[in-house]
Amino acid sequence: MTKNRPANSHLRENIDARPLHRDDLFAEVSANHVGLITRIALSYEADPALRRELVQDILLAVWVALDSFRGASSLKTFVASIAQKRSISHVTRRAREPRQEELRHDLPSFGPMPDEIAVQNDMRDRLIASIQLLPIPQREAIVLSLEGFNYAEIADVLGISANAAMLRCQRAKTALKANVEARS
Amino acid sequence: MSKGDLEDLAALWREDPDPAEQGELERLARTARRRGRLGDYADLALVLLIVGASVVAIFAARSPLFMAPAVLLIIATVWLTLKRRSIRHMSRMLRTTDRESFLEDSIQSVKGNLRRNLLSLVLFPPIAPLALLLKMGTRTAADPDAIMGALLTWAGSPRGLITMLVLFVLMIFLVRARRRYLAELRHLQELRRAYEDEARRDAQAN
Repeated sequence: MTKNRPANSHLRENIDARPLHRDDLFAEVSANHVGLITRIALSYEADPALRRELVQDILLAVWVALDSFRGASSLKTFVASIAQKRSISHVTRRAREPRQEELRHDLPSFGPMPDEIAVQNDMRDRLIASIQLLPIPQREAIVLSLEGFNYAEIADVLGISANAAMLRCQRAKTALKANVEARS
Repeated sequence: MSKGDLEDLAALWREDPDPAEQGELERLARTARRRGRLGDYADLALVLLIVGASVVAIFAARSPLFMAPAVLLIIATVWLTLKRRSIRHMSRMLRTTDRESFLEDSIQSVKGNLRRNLLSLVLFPPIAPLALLLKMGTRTAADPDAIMGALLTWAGSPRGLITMLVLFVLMIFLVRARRRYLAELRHLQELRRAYEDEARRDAQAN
């Protein structure tokens, strides 16, 4: 379901051929990875206005950090790592725990039938709320797993071994399943 | 949870933004880039502005009595600005390594903010009257009696009252910021414990 926009897709191939330029890299982030950033922000912040601020904050942090990006990992992994950390900082900066709000039903969906849209939105709302209930160490593991990162990439983002990443993802999946079922 | 279940959830989770939302996000990205560039120049501009204004004030005073505190004021301002900049820089450039280091850096950053806050709380009360004295000195050609009279007149004027009110509000802001930093530090320490628990479980499962 994840589809990257074709714009700037040539940048990936050119990265090895010339020095990494912050403007080009940020253009690629802007074109291809903002979805990832918003979903990571969504797993930490239920309030739409605060989430928008968080997304802006993550984008600014990515812009600043791109100066030090040397291509050791993929740009997606680099962006996910920054997004997770800024989200953690965002959560810890708030005086109270994030409220569990009713999510707006204007989330993007695919499917022509209004009933299907309603059901899908309801399922997605439940999934998001269940993710937000997980402890942060498990939450970031499951979000990366849902985003399609493999265990080695998750380990890279979290700074743990691939084996530990696998174990953490398994625990997170079990906890997520329990949360989803409890909300059904 | 079976692999199929997880794939279904992943498909549900990874819905991309629609074109309108994508456009809005790209606008946010452009704003972030603009803010990032502006931030690079803002600190330098601020230091130049403060130093420039203080140098002009020194020459306007034409009194050795007021030159010393003015120079002190410049040094304190530059030092404070640099200190603030380094702390902000540290908070932005948190190391992209493991969570333990990240949380440790975050905790150090908050502790840095707490130190900066304490510094402001301690230095602000003497610096504000010093700046006020400097201002009155430039107006009265550094005559001590005239300064006292000018100070009293200023304190009774609407402008003086508003300034004192602003200073009072600033102090309240600093105290509130201190409480916020303490809460943040507590949250970070709790989170560090949660990660330690998770790492213990990883080790036990191994």
